[in-house]
Amino acid sequence: MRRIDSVYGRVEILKRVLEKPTKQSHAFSASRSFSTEGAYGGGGESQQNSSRVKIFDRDLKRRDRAAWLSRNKNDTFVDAVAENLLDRLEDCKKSFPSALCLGGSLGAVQRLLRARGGIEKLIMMDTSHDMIKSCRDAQDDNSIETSYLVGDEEFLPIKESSVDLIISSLGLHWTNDLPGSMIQCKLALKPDGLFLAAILGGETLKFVLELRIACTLAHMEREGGISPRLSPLAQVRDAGNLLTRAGFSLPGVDVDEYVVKYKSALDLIEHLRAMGETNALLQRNKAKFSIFLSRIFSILNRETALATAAIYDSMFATEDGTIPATFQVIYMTGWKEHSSHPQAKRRGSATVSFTDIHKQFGGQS
Amino acid sequence: MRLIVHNMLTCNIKGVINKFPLRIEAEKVIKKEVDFNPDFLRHMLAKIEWKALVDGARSMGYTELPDHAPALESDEPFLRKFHHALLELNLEEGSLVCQESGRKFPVEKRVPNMLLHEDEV
Repeated sequence: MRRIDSVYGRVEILKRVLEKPTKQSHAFSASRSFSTEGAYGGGGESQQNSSRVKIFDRDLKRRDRAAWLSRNKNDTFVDAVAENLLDRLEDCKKSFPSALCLGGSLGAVQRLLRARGGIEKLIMMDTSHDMIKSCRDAQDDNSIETSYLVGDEEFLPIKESSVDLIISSLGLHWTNDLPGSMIQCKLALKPDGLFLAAILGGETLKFVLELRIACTLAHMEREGGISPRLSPLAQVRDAGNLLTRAGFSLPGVDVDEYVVKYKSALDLIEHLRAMGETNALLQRNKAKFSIFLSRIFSILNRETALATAAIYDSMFATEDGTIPATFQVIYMTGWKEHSSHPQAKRRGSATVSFTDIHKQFGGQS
Repeated sequence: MRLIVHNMLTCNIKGVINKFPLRIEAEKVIKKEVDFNPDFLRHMLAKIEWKALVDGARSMGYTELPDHAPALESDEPFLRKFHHALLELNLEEGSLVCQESGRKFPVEKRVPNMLLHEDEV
């Protein structure tokens, strides 16, 4: 069984099958309660090249995210990530008068900001017009001076050196060109400005790697083809490279893993669907009714979904019958270079030798 | 869209050199009252591109701003005018035009849409 590792053209699309519209397009069981500590789906490899491989259908992504937002106001996971990100603003003494918030979980950031970071002017940007509208409607009167803008993270319409802070919570992993987006963010920042982002990591749902296999098997069996379903996600080791490549100074990367327990695999699928992360990969079976369920897989056919859930349940249910899923969120921080930032000294410019220090502290030779 | 945002928007089409500022073509301008905060205004004064602000305000129908920002900004009438131009004038419908390429970015319901078409990337 061929493991699908990457979507950069190595996936073989065996057959393009035109889907017959299924009658029950939204037939999944209503989400039962599940304990969420925060999760997201996906697995894959990092984007190393900056050539613009069009992997994500951004239009599709745009519409579906707006749909999710209208249904689910408070997702614990998304809030937890946003909270973690915003907390970092309190860690530094600096204040950020103007801030740009890039799409992803805009609603969560707006709600949880609570005057941290000394932000006076906030600009919210997203590719989806509907998302922007919902955020604007959700804005309460006490919040800070906020402006709204529809724009693409990959083509930032912001003048260079104009914002003090750029925040993106769970949004950048959707860009086709992550390094490019980060470079644009760096350019838009003022010197000594901060870039704060949270993205999904490659270890996300690694545990559920087999779910992907299960899904592929089921799909192959039912629909006679394999569609790439995995969005490429950065690995932790690449996050640092991404930051330095974009030209950020003092880069920092840390990782958090969230474990979510679901009552059954169908619940997992339903949650991912409710989160509104759709399979926006360009190469997919086009179906009349697209039931795009999750980032990991697009279950176009109810039977395939059930088959997947059954396979997964039989393989991975734990002792108490719950399905655990691990999600990895990578937090990246970077600063726009400024004269006050410590720089690495030139090689050979050391004034004290280690052997001298060694002697001073009387260590064993 | 208010001028506080317009002052940082650029045209992001590849190859365009003169991307700031965008010319405003106003179809509908509304005035929304905003609390007057002199400290915020003084702070912003240092960062605003004055010429872009004046031209933007003129295209939205407000001509009271002086051509150059005064050196000593504590003058209250001036701050009031600045406040009005920067925060209270709101472009409801219209477009932002790139001076070099002529591309129009529409503004609908106070939200500018800076997304590029397929062929412009």
